[in-house]
Amino acid sequence: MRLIDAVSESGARPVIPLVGYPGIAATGHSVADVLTAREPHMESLMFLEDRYHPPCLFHVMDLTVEAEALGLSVRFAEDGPPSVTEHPIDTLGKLGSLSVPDPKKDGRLPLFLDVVSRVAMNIDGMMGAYCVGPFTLAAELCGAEEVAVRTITEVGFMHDLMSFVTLVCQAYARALAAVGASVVAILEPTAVILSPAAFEKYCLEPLKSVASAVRDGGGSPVLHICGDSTHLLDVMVRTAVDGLSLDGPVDLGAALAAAPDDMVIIGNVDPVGTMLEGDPAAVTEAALALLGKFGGNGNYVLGTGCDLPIETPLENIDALMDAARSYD
Amino acid sequence: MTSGPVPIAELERIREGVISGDMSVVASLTERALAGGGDPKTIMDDGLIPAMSVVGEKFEKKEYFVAEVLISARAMEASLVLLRPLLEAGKVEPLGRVAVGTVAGDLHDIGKNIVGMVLTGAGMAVENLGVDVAPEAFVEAVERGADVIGMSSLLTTTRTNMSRVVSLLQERGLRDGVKVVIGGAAVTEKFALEIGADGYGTDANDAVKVVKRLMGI
Repeated sequence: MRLIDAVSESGARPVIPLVGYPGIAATGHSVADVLTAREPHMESLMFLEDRYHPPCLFHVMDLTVEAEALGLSVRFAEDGPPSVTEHPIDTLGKLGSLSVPDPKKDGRLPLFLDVVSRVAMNIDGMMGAYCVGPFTLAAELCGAEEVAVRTITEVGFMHDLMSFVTLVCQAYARALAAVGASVVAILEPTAVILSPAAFEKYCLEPLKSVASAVRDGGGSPVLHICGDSTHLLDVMVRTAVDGLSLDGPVDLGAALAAAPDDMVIIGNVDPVGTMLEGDPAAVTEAALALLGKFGGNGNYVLGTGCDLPIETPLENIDALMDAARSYD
Repeated sequence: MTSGPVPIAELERIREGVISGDMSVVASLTERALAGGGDPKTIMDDGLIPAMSVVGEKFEKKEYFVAEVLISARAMEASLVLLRPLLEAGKVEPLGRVAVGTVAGDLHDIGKNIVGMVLTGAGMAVENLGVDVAPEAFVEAVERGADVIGMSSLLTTTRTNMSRVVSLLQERGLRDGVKVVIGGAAVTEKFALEIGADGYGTDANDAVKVVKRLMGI
């Protein structure tokens, strides 16, 4: 089902928080346990389901699973998201030595598929999954600064790199949707550093391809870019995903103006300034301000601008959910 | 060492090379100017700094994005590696010394590099401490003479390391002699106040304004 139809049919004022990490803290697990084993991950997700009943529940965000399945080393942090520690794929030769991981076999991809398929059967709303975006995966393979520079200096290498990572993202995104993710959010944080022209040149077709793969698997594709992606909005809209999830600095009015009526715009309560540092009253105020401004749009969905920090007070998330549900 | 003027046309070409990000041209022009007895401080002050200042303006006006700024930075660096030893030997003092780094636990690299480069364009000598920088390493930079330390964090779970740096500076009796500026998606003005930092920058150009204000420039 397309996201806009799910949103329209739900009746209630929708709200989709990106909330995995606070669920880890609440259930007393370590981040590494949750990201490397099925039971702790499911337990923290079911905690979130029981407390918040979100219309779409995303699993815990981990931008390293695809890179790790390609053989890169990953460092787990005690209380935050893991990171890729080396970016060795800087020549066509090294790129040629890689092959597209099998989502059913390689690294932790099968573990995430397993969590998604099991949790999807146990929740009321839609199951949401995350897949890294092609440019972000390219940056993990070759280094963020390096790929940024090479968008200008090594066009051929970048096109080959982007073609390869697109295949990786497609295979995993399709698999996530096929095992039960109703929504697959393509996370493309690193693209925020690109100019609109470079974003169009290197990311538009790859993102369309990943979005198609999500639809092939039976899911609805959403695109998320962190930070101020205002300069990329026009191209983001042209990816023809079902929804855009936008971060705190973006003017959602501009996004709603740029997007067609059937493209859902999700956002964008500030994850740090409001959700982490604020109190429930501040969250309510921020949420009601957004709903007051944009609630008249049938394709607007209240959400957090980005993934919530692990130490976000649970009461603040309560306030966000309540603000949407009590709004009419 | 004797050094003389650098032809205006040569300086113009160095500036153009930095603005367009042509590393090899900037390196060879710098070599040639130095070989001809050109003054390294002139190349710095009338070539590199104004060029990076133009790059910073283009970044602010969204004519340039991160990739363009990085390429210009690499071009500038190609000249700076040749100038630095000569400037140091000639005891040429920069406007100020700033050490930038991403705090311990955090591997995000680009933001603080952009800040460092825009600061260089504003006439500061910038030391880039890298990513995953231990609190002790920031303190050592202050001991080496940094007037300002700039810390970046993109993960809220790592930002607490900023306050560890501030505490460590206090313990060592160094806090009063240095300004602490923070930035990155994980921090806010409110957090800067809470941990006792001197300033918070929303982006690279804002960071330069904050640093200049704190240094009274």
